[in-house]
Amino acid sequence: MSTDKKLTKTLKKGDLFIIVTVIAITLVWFLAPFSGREDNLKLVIYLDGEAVETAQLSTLTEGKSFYVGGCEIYADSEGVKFVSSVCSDSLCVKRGTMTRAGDTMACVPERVVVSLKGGSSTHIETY
Amino acid sequence: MKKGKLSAKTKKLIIKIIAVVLVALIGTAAALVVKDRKTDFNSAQKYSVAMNTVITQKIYADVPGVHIEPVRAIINSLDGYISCKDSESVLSRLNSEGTLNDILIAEALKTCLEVSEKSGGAFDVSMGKLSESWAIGTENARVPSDEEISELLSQCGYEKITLDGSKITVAEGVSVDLGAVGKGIACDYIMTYLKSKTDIKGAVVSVGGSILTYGQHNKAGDEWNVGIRHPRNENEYLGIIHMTEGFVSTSGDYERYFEQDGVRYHHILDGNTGRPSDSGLISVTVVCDSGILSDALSTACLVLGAEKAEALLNEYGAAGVFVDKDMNITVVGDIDFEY
Repeated sequence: MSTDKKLTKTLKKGDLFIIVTVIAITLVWFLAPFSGREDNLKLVIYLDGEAVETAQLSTLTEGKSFYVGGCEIYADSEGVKFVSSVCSDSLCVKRGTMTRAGDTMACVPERVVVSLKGGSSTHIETY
Repeated sequence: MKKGKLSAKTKKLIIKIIAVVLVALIGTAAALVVKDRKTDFNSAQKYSVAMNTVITQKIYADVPGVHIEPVRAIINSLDGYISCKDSESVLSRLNSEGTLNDILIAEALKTCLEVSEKSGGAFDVSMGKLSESWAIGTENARVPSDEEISELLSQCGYEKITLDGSKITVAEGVSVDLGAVGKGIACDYIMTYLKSKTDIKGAVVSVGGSILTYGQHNKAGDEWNVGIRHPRNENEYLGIIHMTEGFVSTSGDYERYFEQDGVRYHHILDGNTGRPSDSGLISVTVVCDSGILSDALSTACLVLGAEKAEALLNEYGAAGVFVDKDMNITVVGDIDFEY
């Protein structure tokens, strides 16, 4: 095989390698921030506007109760909910389980806010 | 072929390699630019409780944290100003003394009275005593008797509130309640603050579901995505509004209610009947360029029903999303609603 032919063969493989590698790296790097995986949900509990508890939902496989203000908040890998509150209306308990990134719920009388953070398709919610 | 000199074919291949590398570099550079434009600006987010509801603020700026407290202060000070539950508030002074000289409340009432008139009294801020009697959203919620409702209705009526510049007068017995528009008023004042700060690139603030969107969250100027909560499933979105700068407000029969004998009594009262509205609509979302107006219009529309509500929104050049009891969705006006 002549030198030119060898070079041609090597360069064709090289072309392909460069193209595929560059495209793959660019795509992965570019799309990563937009993937928004729901299994990366982070629970944040606020009291009077200050974050007092945080947890990665995926790590709470056996479930965990948090006691903040006069509220008991239960979280597991599936979601988070108010279990009880000393407030008079218990609207927070009636709210049920929250599972989506970007969701918030609160016990207004106790000034406790629970938020799920992570990849979300919305910036905010009207209700 | 002479030694040390490349053939024409080899030269062609080298040019090809250079071309591929150049294309890859240009592609990467383009992706970098796009990614930079699509990446959100530096931001700070805060959840807190005020005005008897949840406040969510996300501010995009070089040093966004410095704006969180001022926004919260605006909401807290307004709460002390226009709350009818706080006996020390300025609004309570109007209700107890029957007259008040105050530009903030007068301006708010001017907008409210206009919506009251255009909605034929469906929206009415003079129903303070009636709302107090129903007490929906409190542990004392109850269904007042027909006689009581009739008696209390006689003490209501937006036409019993008169404005003369900043001077407000209310007829004896009338109690003004700005609860339906208080969150929207807060959004208006927050918007004024945000616009006055040149370092703020964008912000999205929710005061109990009344929302403002301001500026941009990235260089590309991508739209804000505002989710509308499903009226019968809190864990689902009804859809998403894609919008630029503006105000969004939703009124629904699911926010505050109680059930008695299988009947749901929600907190939005019809100014003409003194009872929870029963227009066929269960959720109304309004998008417009004023916080107080989006609040007032969403309430008015829920009471009016789809047909009259659409006419009212058209009159104000506002847009909206209506949901009826059968979960039919109607989109009104110029709005990008995905569902």
